[in-house]
Amino acid sequence: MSESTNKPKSTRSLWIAIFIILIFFMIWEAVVVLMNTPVYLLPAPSKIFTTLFTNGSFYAEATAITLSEALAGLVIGVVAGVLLASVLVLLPGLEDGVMTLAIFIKSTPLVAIAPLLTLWLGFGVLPKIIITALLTFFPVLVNIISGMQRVDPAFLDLFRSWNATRWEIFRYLRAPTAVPYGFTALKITAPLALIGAVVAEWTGASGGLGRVMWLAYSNLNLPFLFAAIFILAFAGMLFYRVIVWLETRIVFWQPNNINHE
Amino acid sequence: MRITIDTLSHTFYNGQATPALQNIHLSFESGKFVALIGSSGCGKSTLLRLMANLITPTLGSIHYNGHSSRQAVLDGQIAWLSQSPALLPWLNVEKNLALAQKFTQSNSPSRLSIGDALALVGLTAASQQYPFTLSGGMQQRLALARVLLQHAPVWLMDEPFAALDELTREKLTEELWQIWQVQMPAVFWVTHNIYEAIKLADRILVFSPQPGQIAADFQVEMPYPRHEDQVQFQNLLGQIRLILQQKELEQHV
Repeated sequence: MSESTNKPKSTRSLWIAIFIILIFFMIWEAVVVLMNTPVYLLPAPSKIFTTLFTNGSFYAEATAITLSEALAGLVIGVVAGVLLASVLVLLPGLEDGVMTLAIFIKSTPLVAIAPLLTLWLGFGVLPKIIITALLTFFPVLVNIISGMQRVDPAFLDLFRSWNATRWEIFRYLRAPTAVPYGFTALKITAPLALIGAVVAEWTGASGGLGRVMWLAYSNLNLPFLFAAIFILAFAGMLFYRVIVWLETRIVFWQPNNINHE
Repeated sequence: MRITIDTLSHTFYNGQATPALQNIHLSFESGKFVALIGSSGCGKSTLLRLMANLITPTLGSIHYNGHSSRQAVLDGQIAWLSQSPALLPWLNVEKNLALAQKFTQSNSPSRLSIGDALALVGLTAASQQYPFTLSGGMQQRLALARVLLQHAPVWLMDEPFAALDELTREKLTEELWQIWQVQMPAVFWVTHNIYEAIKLADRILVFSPQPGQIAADFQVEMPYPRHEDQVQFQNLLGQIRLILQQKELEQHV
């Protein structure tokens, strides 16, 4: 048996991913060099990485601001989504009314609200956190509600035969059933949270990657702009990986998380 | 425990009215093994669900020692086992039983421990495993252990082993019968399998379909263990088959 077939699948797929990204950058570099593309249109990856590393502390500070806004907004959005979903499942009479309001909020273009919030609340982190929370809230709400409602009828029969109350059915059956759905929502919303924070910063901020991108864009300083984009892409990937890692540990009973040996 | 079913009818409404059961009168004594047999859609599962108070009858009533089925469920008198083992996948074997115990044993005088229940169904070694690591047969054993913990005087079983392979099903049915003899509850066992019904039951109710009615009610007085090569066994098998075939034919005329 060859060594590669013995390696865990995740290690192999990581190497494949790194390999593909390297190829992508090499082609990009080659195109820029061969076609002699001006730096204000498309900088070479080498140029972007040089910019990134020579301005390390500057980018670190901006990243810290954006990530903390995104994380705070994500946490608030997730907590609010889970709490509201729980209330709606426990008190089903409220669902229609509240869902209409939630869809109303969801349908409002956040790009339009973001400048307003900045106008009302200033250039600080608060409007960014609110925008991020609004963006992440809805997918969590919808996924958790459907998770809690899509309980296998055989389980409901069992709990009813035990004379379990609505709260007990919620506590022991509906809530745990919804956890995998929560992770599905997180995988969608975590990258969205970063986008939310950046879009909000774009409309006016005292710091953060969105602010950096806006400044770089205004000055057509594309290496600076791309460096920020690279950080965001990497952070988004990292968010996603962390969530998948947590998912395989917390939702261990899901078929795709079961490690058959 | 005396169970009486009086002028019971049930109709499902979803766009149109589908009568599922019509005018059922039955009474049962405790400690009897009753098999409910009939073709698909003949209302036998509906009767079981009505008995478990999972649905409310359109007409008529079910009483357990004079109490309503709702009261019987409140008092923990009824244990339910369906084709799906309904094991909570995030809890291991022991914790699945602990949850059942939490819900059911406050009503029960019995103090059968989780360990005892596991030993009775032969799952002691698997107590720390999660349901997804168990075979279909082991999962249904665990569901049976949950029923044992409840120590209810009435067991309602809706084709509990139907999804298992034949060998496992035979083995489990045999084990269930052994366990039944220890706790001696009134068992109501929905099945498609006439052989199983004759092997186990004290009483066999044969259903005719659309709407579900009792076509025949057999008291089986053969001693245990019963074998297919016994004359009485074959006679009863022939009679039940004939009734089911006649009812099937009447359906198509």
